[in-house]
Amino acid sequence: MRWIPFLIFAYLFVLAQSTLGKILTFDRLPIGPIGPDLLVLLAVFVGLNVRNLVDGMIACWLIGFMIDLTTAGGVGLATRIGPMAFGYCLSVWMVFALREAMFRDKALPQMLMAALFCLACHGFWITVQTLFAADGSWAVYGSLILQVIISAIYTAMLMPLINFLLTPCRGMIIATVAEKSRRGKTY
Amino acid sequence: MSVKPSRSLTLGVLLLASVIMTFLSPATAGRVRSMLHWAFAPMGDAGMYLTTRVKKSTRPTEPVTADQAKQYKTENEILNRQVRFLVSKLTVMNDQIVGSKTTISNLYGFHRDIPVRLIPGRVVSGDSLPYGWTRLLNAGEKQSAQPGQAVTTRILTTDREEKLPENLAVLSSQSLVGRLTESAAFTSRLQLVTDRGFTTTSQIARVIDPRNPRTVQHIDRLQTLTPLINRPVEVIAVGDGAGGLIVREVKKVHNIREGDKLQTRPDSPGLPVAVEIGTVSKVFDDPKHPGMMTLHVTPTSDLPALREVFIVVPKAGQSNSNGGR
Repeated sequence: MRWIPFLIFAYLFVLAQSTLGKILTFDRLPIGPIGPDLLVLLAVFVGLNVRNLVDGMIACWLIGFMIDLTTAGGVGLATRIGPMAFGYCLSVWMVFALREAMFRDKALPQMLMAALFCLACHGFWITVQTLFAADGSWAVYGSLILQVIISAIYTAMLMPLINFLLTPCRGMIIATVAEKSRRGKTY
Repeated sequence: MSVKPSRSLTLGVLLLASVIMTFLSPATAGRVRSMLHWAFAPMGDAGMYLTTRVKKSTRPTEPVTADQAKQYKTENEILNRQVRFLVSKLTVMNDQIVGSKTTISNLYGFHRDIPVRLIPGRVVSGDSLPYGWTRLLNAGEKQSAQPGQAVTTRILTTDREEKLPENLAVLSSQSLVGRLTESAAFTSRLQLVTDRGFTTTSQIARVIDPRNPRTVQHIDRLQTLTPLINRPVEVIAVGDGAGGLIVREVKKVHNIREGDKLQTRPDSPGLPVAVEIGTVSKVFDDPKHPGMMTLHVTPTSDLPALREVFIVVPKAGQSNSNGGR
């Protein structure tokens, strides 16, 4: 990983997510706001292209930590710091493992991986925050999980576009991009 | 001799750190977040400006049929005539009242001021995740902003499109939009009234409609609601996380209807005036508690497009014990 450019990219994505991301958010739905997580798209992009799993996990931990630092509401009391960093870190492991079994250059597998990533890390985050919230109830948890599922689908729909936009910058973020060998394995 | 940590060790330390941080209290987590507000606040302003402009322009409106449009036009003309008549009458009465007040004030010198100071702020960023309703403001402890303080709207006649002289911006109607939950030197985090974690003691002001009178319980007997007996109903409102507020366990005898107003309580130390929060949009029976009903309240402000706000800072000597948490 090229850490300095990566951190700049991550910062720009957090900035876009916390400001312009609100344009893409549907606020007036009965189940609550539904919006995409642009950071998931960056994390999946890293997961699809990074050569070393540990590098990818550290990068995604940093992305998740940035989300933890810029999110304070949603479940009840002010939310905890740490669960999203942990969730992102483990979710990229799943992408790393799955990418061998899929055509990662195609839009549909990318969307599937973005949806799974989003479901895993957001689901984990919601569960941990609800467990810690003093007034957390099953009804609220169910409503949040529904939001997570719809947001994951929404996020997945943006994955091919973000992948297309980030591909020219791949060399700036990732020093050694994972390539496919003749046997189809990724190195 | 220096030892360079391996990547696996670094990852292990980071994972352990995230587990430990999860067990920090929300207050400590808030302080950690506050320390890094500076990194996002200055750069978020332009993006938030664009976001609020788009949100304002895409506000949903219900379609109006041609018949409804004609009916509204006729009603508007009648109401306009009534308003003109009442305004002229009011002007005459106001002049009389002002004259009398001036005389009394000059004689006795009594003066009452609301013991708060209003600090202007602007929304510069939002939450990274779509599940919460919080915003980052560009006013912080240096401007006396502290967690627990109330925040109201600040509606300006103009924003950035036109160049105007200083201090020409005119304030219009205000409503409560939330409460501060974190504050740093130059930034603070606002929890909007619609966030699931928002709770406030408030009151319902029943709107009297002469065409549709209502019966309420007053001193153990049922009476038609009149201005004389129209006392506000004390309630607790919580954010529902879906763009509204919920008021639970309100007695049916209060006969609260759609259109009634949810307000802050004037005896609240942080904001000692009745400021509107929202309008009751749905009233339904509480199945768990017979004789009670649940109210759904729609906020007065357009919260997704919120941009300019006032932080209400109690003046020295005023305690602010009922914070946002």
